[in-house]
Amino acid sequence: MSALPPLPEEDEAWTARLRALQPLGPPEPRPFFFTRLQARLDARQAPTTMLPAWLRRPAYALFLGALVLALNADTAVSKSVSPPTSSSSSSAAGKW
Amino acid sequence: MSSSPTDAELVAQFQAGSAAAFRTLVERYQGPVYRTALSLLRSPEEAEDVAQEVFVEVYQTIDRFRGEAALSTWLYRLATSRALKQQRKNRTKKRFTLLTNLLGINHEVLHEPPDHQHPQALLEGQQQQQQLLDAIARLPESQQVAFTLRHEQELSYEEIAAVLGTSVSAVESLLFRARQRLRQFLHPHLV
Repeated sequence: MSALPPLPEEDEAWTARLRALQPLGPPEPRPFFFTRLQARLDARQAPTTMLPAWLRRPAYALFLGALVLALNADTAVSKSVSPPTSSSSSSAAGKW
Repeated sequence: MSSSPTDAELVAQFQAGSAAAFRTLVERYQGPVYRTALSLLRSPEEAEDVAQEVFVEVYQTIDRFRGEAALSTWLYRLATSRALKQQRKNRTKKRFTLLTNLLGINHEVLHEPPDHQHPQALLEGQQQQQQLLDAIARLPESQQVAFTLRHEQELSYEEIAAVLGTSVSAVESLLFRARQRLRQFLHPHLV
């Protein structure tokens, strides 16, 4: 391995040394950078319009599902436990 | 003949909803943002990803940009912080892969994560240049950022201070220590 050349001391000398690493000029991003950026932005925006942000969190969605099931179950149970009698309903209707 | 809009004009147009202003802004700064990320990550693919994410963030948060700092300062700040985050992620991944392989948890063949070399250095095949780039990569984060912004992006001390949110004297100190460490890495017997 060959010995390294003396290292620069001065500010400008370091810049020149690093500039020498790019003999072909400063590197540039690949062509059509903006097109790829646009595609990325479109991909990010697409799902957000479909559902509200809070509903896209699994915990909220699960909670909402559980709540709907619990309310349905409660309604079903309360209907099966105390069916309305025909006499009470007719008497109630008679009052009004 | 129409002169190109200033950064402040571009931001104002973009905040007012001009898609053309955003495109001009991206085309004006895609090179500097990409090169900043590349100088810290040394992987063209990762640098492209970071540069894209920087502009996604700009697109999403432009309403909050009040112009207290220059647009370029904001972009350099986003690029360096995202590149450093990616660098940390790469290091963690490398350490984790090494650990799982040492413990025998991962039965995959041990692959050394790709060591992305600077494209120009590869092209030139110059070992000394690669040694310098490796030494820069071994600098502490703040010194590495200050050094690359100064000597690769050729920003002034004042601009670097604005990007790092520090004083010019602090930047001078960071650069002094960075150069000192580079000399230690590259010529240990001389220090």
